[in-house]
Amino acid sequence: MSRCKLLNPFSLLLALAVLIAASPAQSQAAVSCQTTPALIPITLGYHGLPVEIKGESAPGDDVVVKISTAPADAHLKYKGKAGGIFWMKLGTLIFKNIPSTYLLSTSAPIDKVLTADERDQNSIGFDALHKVVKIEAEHGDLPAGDWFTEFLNFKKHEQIYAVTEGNVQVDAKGGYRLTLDWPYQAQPGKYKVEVITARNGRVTGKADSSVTVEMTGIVEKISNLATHNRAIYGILAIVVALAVGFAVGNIFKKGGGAH
Amino acid sequence: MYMYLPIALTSVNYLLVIALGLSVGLLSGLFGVGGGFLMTPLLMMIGIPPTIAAATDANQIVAASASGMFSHWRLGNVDYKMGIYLLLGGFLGGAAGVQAIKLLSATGGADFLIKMTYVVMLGLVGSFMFVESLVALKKNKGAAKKQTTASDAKKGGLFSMLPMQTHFDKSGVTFSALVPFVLGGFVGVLAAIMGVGGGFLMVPVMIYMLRMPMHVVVGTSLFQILFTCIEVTFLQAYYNRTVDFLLAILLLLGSVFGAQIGTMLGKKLHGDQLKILLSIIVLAVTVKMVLDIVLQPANLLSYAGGH
Repeated sequence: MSRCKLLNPFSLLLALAVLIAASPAQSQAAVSCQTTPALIPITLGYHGLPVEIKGESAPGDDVVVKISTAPADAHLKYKGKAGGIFWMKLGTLIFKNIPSTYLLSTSAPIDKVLTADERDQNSIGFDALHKVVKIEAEHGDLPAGDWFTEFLNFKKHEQIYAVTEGNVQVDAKGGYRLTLDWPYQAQPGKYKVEVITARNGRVTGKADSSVTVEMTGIVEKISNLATHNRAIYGILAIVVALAVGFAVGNIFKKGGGAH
Repeated sequence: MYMYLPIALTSVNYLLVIALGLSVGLLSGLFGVGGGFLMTPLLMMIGIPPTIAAATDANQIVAASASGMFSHWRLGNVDYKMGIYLLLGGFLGGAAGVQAIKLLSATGGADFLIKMTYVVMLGLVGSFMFVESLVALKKNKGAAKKQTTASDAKKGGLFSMLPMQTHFDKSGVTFSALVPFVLGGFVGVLAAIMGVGGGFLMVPVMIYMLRMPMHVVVGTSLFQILFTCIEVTFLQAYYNRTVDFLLAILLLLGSVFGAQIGTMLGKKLHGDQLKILLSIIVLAVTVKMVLDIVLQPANLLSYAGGH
């Protein structure tokens, strides 16, 4: 009985209308996103890699590409003046709910692409991040200072936080393309690539993909040995150092001398 | 040109790292110091995290000091007896220093202690060596040599009154075995606090307090540094996973050759010339450290670990 009621034409139309009204995705343009390469292997000669992100969007839309890690807590030492004279590490600050890597690229100045509300809702830009991050001292009260700006400066120096405006190329047919140098400082792990298209300050579509950075070959083997067989790793490091030291000492055996 | 370091999790220009190793290895062969007080800050400047820089430096010093010590051993410049007493004291002192740092870390005072120890010790050692060497250089060479003879060392009043009097053949000095043991322990405490091998402290102690001849000082210092750094390398790899093997290999490729070149160069220089050169380097590092703690740093945040 209840099944028949649900299937009557009026109920179906009503449900469809509710779905359309409730789901913003339905009103958004189809956006695609393809990242090449999707897997970045860290080899012995690794020093970052060019990564291309491209896809289709509605013609005339602006495009924002955000590459980030999942928000987490970051524990960092902070420096302050000890005794009013010396700059020292005084304690630890915890930056809660913030990605360790955040790389934002846009096709135009970000404040012209999206309204402040849209930026906040989609965590676009440093101001939006500032609104969600919570900063605490590990012990005691939070010391005075603009610690979010310090955090940004620290991450920018590491080249894993950046906002670059105008580097996403958009063509007349709606295709977009971003080529960036993947920073070697970005640690192994999975990175989310989010593409947001916008018009008149509003989001018109979204798509996402991912990039995985992982160690391979000798780099992976050494990392595994150092993690899982620490004693062997330590002994190996000593033996190799001794062998090289004595071997070179022997090569130069005629060259030594007293002072 | 680049190599990725699996423990430091960063990529470096390997030619630059080899050149760093060569420069610091040269100091090692020339002065008998491990060079940790120079290498660790230099590695941090090229983007290596502080804890990895300090631990990996200990690993490369194993190679450099083995290479340098091998040369000095062939020349008969290593006083093993003295080295063992210094080493025993150094191990005990090092363990005490590590415990002191643990206690101070819990109360938040470790960073202050470490930096102040660095500045005071480097400043004192550097200034003393500089002035002393300058005075000695002005005098005639005969007078300068005289201070390192066995007869002078025997006149060392207090040392000769202590028990366990021992003759150290290679160094040509006689005093209580407690002297190198206690001095080694003192250097060990400071070395642990400062996170370095202690060569730059041990060398002046051997020259000015133990009155050992300069050529034996360098060989014996390298002997002591070698074993200290073997211990540190293993402990850091085992407990902290902070030894980057690839970084160490790059550094030691440079440092072992640097150590040999340093040993050859040292042969051509007079002891006081060596001392004055070392004192200038130590004083330069002191000035840099003072500026680092007095001037506001470019960034007020850093990763945990290191000094």
